[in-house]
Amino acid sequence: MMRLSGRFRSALIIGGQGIRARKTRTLLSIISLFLGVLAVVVVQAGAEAANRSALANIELTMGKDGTLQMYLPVGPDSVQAVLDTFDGRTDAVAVFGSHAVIGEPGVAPINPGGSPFDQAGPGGWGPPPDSYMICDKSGVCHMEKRPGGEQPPTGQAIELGLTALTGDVRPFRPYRLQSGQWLDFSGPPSLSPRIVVNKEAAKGFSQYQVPAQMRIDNGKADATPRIVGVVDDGMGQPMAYVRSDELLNWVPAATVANFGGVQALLSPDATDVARTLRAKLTASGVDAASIRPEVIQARQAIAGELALYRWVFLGIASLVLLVGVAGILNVGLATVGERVEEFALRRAVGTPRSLLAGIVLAETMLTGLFTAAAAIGVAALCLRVVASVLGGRFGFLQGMQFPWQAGIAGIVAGLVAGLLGGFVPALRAARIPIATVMRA
Amino acid sequence: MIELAGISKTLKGQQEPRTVLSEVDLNVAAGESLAVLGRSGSGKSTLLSLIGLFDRADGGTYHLDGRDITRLPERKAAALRSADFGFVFQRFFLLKHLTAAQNVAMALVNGQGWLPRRHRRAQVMAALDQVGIAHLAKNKPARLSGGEQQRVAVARALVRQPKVLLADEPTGALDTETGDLVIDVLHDATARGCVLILVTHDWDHARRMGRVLRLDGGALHPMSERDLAGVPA
Repeated sequence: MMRLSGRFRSALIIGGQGIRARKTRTLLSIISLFLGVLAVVVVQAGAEAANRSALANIELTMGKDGTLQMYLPVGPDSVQAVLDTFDGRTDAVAVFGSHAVIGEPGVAPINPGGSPFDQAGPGGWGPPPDSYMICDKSGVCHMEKRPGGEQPPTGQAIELGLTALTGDVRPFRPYRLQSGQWLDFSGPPSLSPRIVVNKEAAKGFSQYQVPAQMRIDNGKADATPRIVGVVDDGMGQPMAYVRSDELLNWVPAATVANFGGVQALLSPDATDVARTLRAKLTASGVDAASIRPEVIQARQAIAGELALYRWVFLGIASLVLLVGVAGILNVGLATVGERVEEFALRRAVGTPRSLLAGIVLAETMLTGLFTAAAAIGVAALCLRVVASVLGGRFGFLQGMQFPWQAGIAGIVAGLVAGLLGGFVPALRAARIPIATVMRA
Repeated sequence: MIELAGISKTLKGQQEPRTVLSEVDLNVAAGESLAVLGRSGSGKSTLLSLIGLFDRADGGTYHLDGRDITRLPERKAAALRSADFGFVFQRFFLLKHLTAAQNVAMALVNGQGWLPRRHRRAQVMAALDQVGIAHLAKNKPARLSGGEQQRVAVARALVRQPKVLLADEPTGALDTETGDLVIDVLHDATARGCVLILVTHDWDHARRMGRVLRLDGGALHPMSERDLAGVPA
């Protein structure tokens, strides 16, 4: 152990002396290697950023990785059971899919069927003007002709999906607040439902002047909504989010989820909620086999595609790195050629061949480490600049720290490049005949 | 101490193989000083490189302190060179980017065990002091005279307190006065039991050794007082 330690320390000391003695050559090696290591660092950092971006995007719609998700059957008793189970919970949220039209009553909405506004109009989403959509208690919807085939006139109304929540859903679906505020679940429910709309709905409300009158499917009367905020939810069609208790002031519990059903989102450790819910639903007559919890695997969903991109770019970076390795090899061979007498002398004073090889490798690997440090520094600096300049346009760049994986990749790339570039010079150094000093 | 028996060595280069040592026998006792004289190309340096384990003989046996080291593996030979041998060459072979002290320390930082920096420094300074240039420890070779540089090289050879000191024309690049000084330093090492084998062309330096041998025709021939007396000073 002591012997190994002594050799290791000796290699580092002599290697360090060699680097100090040949600063220009070391600098040349660093320059030749810099782009390769930088490429590896950038690819790794880029991959992490892309991973983060893709994950953030997919988690908006799919849900956070690891979240427990359950689609629940809809029925008068089951909805009440869900509401009772999720009441006051922060580690689990029930999501009820409903549907509403905000604006003038008795008119055909601007975007029939709740379509995106640039796809509204004939041939777009939703039923034809002489028909309407009707859904049964199990959430199955179908079109029916309007009585007498009458067609309501087109007016100032916006149709949107209405999602009622028993609590803050953002721990499970990280919606990005664009303006205003998110729903406050702490106070008593208001008779004037507070809603948070998504970007597409906000676009509609900014383009069209619609009165604040909200007709909810199966609603007892029209409500007067208050828009309190705008979020990016990753959805292309207009959506609004509302507290379930505020919606229930206007819609009977049995029909609150007539458009999209009930979904439960639970944190991975909220197993008690899942157990209670299952028991209550079974007691209310729901077939236990129809309650199937599944874990959201957002990372897995994007892993394959991102891995492919990462390997392609890492392949390109490796080629650049190989050019740098060739540079180190070239400089290393030239340096060993110049130091034949030194290495022979070192052998004469008892330095083993393995340590001579170790000295050369220590020099090239230290050079690789210095290069990695420089590349990581430059990449981190560039990331900071890019994040500050483009952070407003690309949300995932906001507050993004330099990924440690990129730092590790840079260090590994520097060390491997030093090892590869120094291997042949190290072998050559170890084979220098000791008698060189005698014949000199 | 050193026992060579029937040592042969043939150099195989691009030209015809040339036998430079043929059935050489040599015994050297601890504390003995020995000069080897001979024409250029007679095999003096080859003999030194065999004794110093730089190279292997084609035939014969080599015992050091009674231990057969004729076919020692390179790893063990390196350890033995570090522990038991000191070398001084005609050219000083100082590394110009290192100070005098660092050049001497080269023999200690060689992967054969590990000395803490404090102990290393003490040994280096003792060796430099032994050759009378401790005050030049921080100077780089470019700031030292030829004699001072050779004394640094001698300090490097002495720093591990070797049993055998091999000097291959150590005064070849020095003026007479400086050369005498270096020989004095080398000779002093024999006082503590170190073997000194000096390869030289200088008869005066050879005369100061305890025994003088002439290498001729691949064989060692002892030179008597009378032989040496006949040589002009």
